[in-house]
Amino acid sequence: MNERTPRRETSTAKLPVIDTLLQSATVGVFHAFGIATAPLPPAELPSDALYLEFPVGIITFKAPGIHAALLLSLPRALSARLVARQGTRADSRDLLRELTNLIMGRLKNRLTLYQVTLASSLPVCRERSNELEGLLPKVGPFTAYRFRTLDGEILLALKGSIDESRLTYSSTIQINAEGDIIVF
Amino acid sequence: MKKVLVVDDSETVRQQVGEALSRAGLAVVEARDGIDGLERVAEHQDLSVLILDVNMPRLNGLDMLDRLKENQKTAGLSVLILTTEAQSSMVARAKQAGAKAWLIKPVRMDLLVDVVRKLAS
Repeated sequence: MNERTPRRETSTAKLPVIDTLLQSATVGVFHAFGIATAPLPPAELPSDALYLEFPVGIITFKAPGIHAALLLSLPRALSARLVARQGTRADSRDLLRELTNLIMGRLKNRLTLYQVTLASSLPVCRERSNELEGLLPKVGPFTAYRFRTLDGEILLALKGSIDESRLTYSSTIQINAEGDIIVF
Repeated sequence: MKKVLVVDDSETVRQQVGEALSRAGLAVVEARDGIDGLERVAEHQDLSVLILDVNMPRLNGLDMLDRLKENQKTAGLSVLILTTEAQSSMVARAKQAGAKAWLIKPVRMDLLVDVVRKLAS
C-alpha cells in the first residue's frame, strides 16, 4: 500500500447494501462528534492506489459469507480538531480506534435487519502500511468510501469479501438505535 | 459523595464519561478492562454504580458482570452497560445477569448522568 501515490479510481462500485450502510454509519458517527461530512461515490481500488493517512484505525469482522476489515483514516487537520475538543487527556490514536468502533457498531446494528450477526475484533491502530499485512483479509478488493469535511477527506476503506446474496432484509426485526437508553 | 466506576478500554470514553460524572458531583474511578475493573471493585468498597463497556480485552463487560453477580459481596452493585452493541441477545443476557440498564453509544452525557444519578440514589 503506497502512502503517497495519488488515488486512481478504476471503477465505480455499485451501490449495494453495504455501501449505503457504511456511508450512513460514517456520516452518523461524525455527526455525533459535531463534524459534517459529505459522502463521495465509493470506488474499488487496487491496494497501490489507496492513499491512507496514518495512523489508521482497523477493525475486522466476520459472518457466514462475510470476511472483511474496515480501515479508517483521518486528515491530520480533522484529527487535530477532534483531539482539541476532547481535552487534555486526548490521544488521537485512541480516538481513532473509538471512531472505527462506533462505525462498526452501526454497521453491526443495521446488518441485524438483514438477518446477519457480525462478530468483530477489537479496534486497533496501526502506524505504517507494513503493519497492515497480517490484519487484513487476503481476498477481496479494497473499496474506498471518501467523505468530504471542512478539514479534508475522511477515508473509510473496506477490504475483503461480502456476499450480499446472504443479506435478506426483514421488516419484522426490531433494532435499538444509537443513543438509546434501555432501563430494565 | 457517590462513587462510580467506569470500565472501558477506550481512554476517550473514560475521559468523556468521567468528566461528565465529575461535573455532576460524582467521584469517578476508571478501569481499562474487565480484569482491571474487578481489581478496582475490590479496592473501592464504596462504589455506587458501575458503567461497563462490553467489548474489551482480557475480560469483556458481560463476563465481568457475571463474576460480579456470582460474588455475594458485589452482587448488589448497580451496573449499567455502555456499548456500541445493540444485539437483543446481548441485551437480554445483561438483563438476565442483573444489569440495570443498557446504553448504546454514542449517548448524550446528560442522559447518562441522569441514569447514573437515579441508580446511585
